Amino acid sequence: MAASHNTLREPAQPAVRGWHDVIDVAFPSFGDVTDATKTMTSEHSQRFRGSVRLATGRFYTSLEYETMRKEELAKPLP
Amino acid sequence: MSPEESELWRKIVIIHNHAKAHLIYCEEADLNQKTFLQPWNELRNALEHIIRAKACAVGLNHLVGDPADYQRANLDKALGHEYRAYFDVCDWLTVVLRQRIRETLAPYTEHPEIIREVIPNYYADIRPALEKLTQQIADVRTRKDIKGDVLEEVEQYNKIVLELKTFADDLSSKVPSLIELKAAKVAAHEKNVKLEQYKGRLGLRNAIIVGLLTVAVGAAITVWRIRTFPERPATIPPMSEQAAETAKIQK
Repeated sequence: MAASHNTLREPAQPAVRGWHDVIDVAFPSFGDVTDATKTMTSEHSQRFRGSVRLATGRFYTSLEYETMRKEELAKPLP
Repeated sequence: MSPEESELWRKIVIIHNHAKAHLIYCEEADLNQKTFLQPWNELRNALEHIIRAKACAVGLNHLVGDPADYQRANLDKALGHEYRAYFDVCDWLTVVLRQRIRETLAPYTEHPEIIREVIPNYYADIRPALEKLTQQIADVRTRKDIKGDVLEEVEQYNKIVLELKTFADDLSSKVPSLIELKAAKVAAHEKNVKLEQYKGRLGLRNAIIVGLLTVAVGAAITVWRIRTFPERPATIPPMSEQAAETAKIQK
């Protein structure tokens, strides 16, 4: 069966599959970045290597970014 | 590799590295010391499509129909994600640049003439370009479909973005001149204020002196008159004969 290659598929069902089977399967979407994402990232940072920024929660949530952006654009330039 | 695939790869590589350069810059320059995850998500999706295309190219994905079509379609998707990653980063970059420029020039908001003197192209070129770019990038991000030559569009925006980045980086070298000129202007202003105050005080002092002198002169004249003419005539002097005759004729 020819795989569809024009769109990313829905996330894989939680089942262990061989790598051949997941070539055309999309990663699960992480959706909006929220405060819960920050909490989770910080809680699990001891178990994973990675960016210090991420481990310490130094990233914008979707809401934070939009708020920061709007506030900045509302301030007039000199 | 077909020329079409080769061209897709060329575009992916160039746009990816433009986005990467700006992403590194933003992470360093962001005033909140935070990163923005949206571009990373787009890059992750681009990698996913690249891996799919490569899996087919090296014969690891046997499930596809036409391998050339599959690879081209996935590279096209990867290019789309790189394009979105680029404009997500650019959106963040314009905010970061605005913050840097605004905060550096904030002490001179009341003195636009100083900014104009030290940075002659600020009001004519830089500020309008920054305002326009912010709006244009926001429009590109809200656009869902990708049309036309994406590389050409990215290069066009990138040229403006690089100019603004260079301006923001060079701005720190202008700060000493801005400070110096502001200090000179403030000193000149204070000198003017002091001069005006001095003139005011001088005017008041002169008025008091003139008033006192007038009083003194008046008093001196009075004293002189009293001493020179100690007794004033008590009655009206009699009329001369000629005057008496004239009065009679008139009656």
